[in-house]
Amino acid sequence: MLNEDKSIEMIIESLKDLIDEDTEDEKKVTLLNASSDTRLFGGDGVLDSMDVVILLSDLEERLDEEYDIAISLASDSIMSKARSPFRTVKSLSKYVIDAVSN
Amino acid sequence: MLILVTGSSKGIGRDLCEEFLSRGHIVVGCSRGQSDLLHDNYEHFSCDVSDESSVIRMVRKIGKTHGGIDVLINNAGVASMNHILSTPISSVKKLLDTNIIGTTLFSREVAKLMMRKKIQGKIINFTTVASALSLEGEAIYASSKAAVQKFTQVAAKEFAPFGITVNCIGPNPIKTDLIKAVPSEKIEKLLDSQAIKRLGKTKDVINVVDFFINQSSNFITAQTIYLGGVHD
Ligand SMILES: NC(=O)c1ccc[n+]([C@@H]2O[C@H](COP(=O)([O-])OP(=O)(O)OC[C@H]3O[C@@H](n4cnc5c(N)ncnc54)[C@H](OP(=O)(O)O)[C@@H]3O)[C@@H](O)[C@H]2O)c1
Repeated sequence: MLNEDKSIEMIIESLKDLIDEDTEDEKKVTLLNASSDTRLFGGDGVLDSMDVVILLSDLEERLDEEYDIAISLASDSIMSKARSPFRTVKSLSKYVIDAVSN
Repeated sequence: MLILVTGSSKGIGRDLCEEFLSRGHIVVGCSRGQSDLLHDNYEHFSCDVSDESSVIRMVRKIGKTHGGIDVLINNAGVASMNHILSTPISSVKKLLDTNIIGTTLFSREVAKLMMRKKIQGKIINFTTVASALSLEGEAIYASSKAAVQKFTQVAAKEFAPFGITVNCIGPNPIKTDLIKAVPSEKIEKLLDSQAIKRLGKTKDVINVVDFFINQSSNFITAQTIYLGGVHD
């Protein structure tokens, strides 16, 4: 069963996977040390819109592989800087749990 | 290569599958019904291209079994001929579901897989000369395919950062079940408006597909190629 702790853990793992050779040092440190309060998208968030779609796709794959849940996490509000569920790790975790339970 | 062809049980899709199988590729296909194509390198899914959860399950299963998809051919399509004044909205919705929702869903799911697996994939969509020629009696079909062309152009931009190209092919009439209800005078009139006045053949489609999926075509994206010398 996917609970809040496990979904936060999964998101934190996914964030580390966003790092590649082009990732700037400051962003790399934030991604490596992410916690439930880390700001992700919008405002002073660490992710740009390209990171958001890659993260979304990675989370879908993890849900499928680790929990055998084949769902889409697509939503109209994802790219909204003010309302995106990708604002923080915590809000994203809530969004993932809601999507899974629906 | 692993090639995914939607709408593979008959017509152009079926011919594409047989051609790619004969070249030694692995081919996965789908249609709402079954397929009688039996080949060691062919797998068929009964999947309606407009059914989101079926499409997600199908693409995930291919990812798990084969690791990735190199080429997606969004061939599944339906047509309808009617005057706008006598077209039921239920038919409009059904047609848009297959032609535009289906293309969108498969492109979305397969592009994610290509992106994750770092595959410089190729996506090929299907339009029609009926769109370029604004044919009477084909308002909904032609509009749905015009939408596919615009989708192709935007997808080409959004997927370019991942090395994925997205192009479109616009066949002229090719003898399949899709056009069997179209009166022959109408087909003749259409052929007459082409630069080269003959029916198309699947091999004409294959030729364009080959061009789009060739690794040397990595700089070709957002394009539509019509058969027979038709243009927008
Ligand atoms: N033939 C032409 O003259 C012509 C001209 C221009 C463009 N095109 C385009 O070329 C493509 C192929 O056409 P075609 O002539 O080969 O048509 P076709 O002979 O009627 O075959 C269509 C294929 O698509 C499948 N299909 C239809 N709706 C589907 C759905 N909702 N989900 C999954 N599969 C579906 C059908 O199988 P099921 O019914 O079992 O689902 C069948 O395998 C289409 O996109 C068409 O618009 C054709």
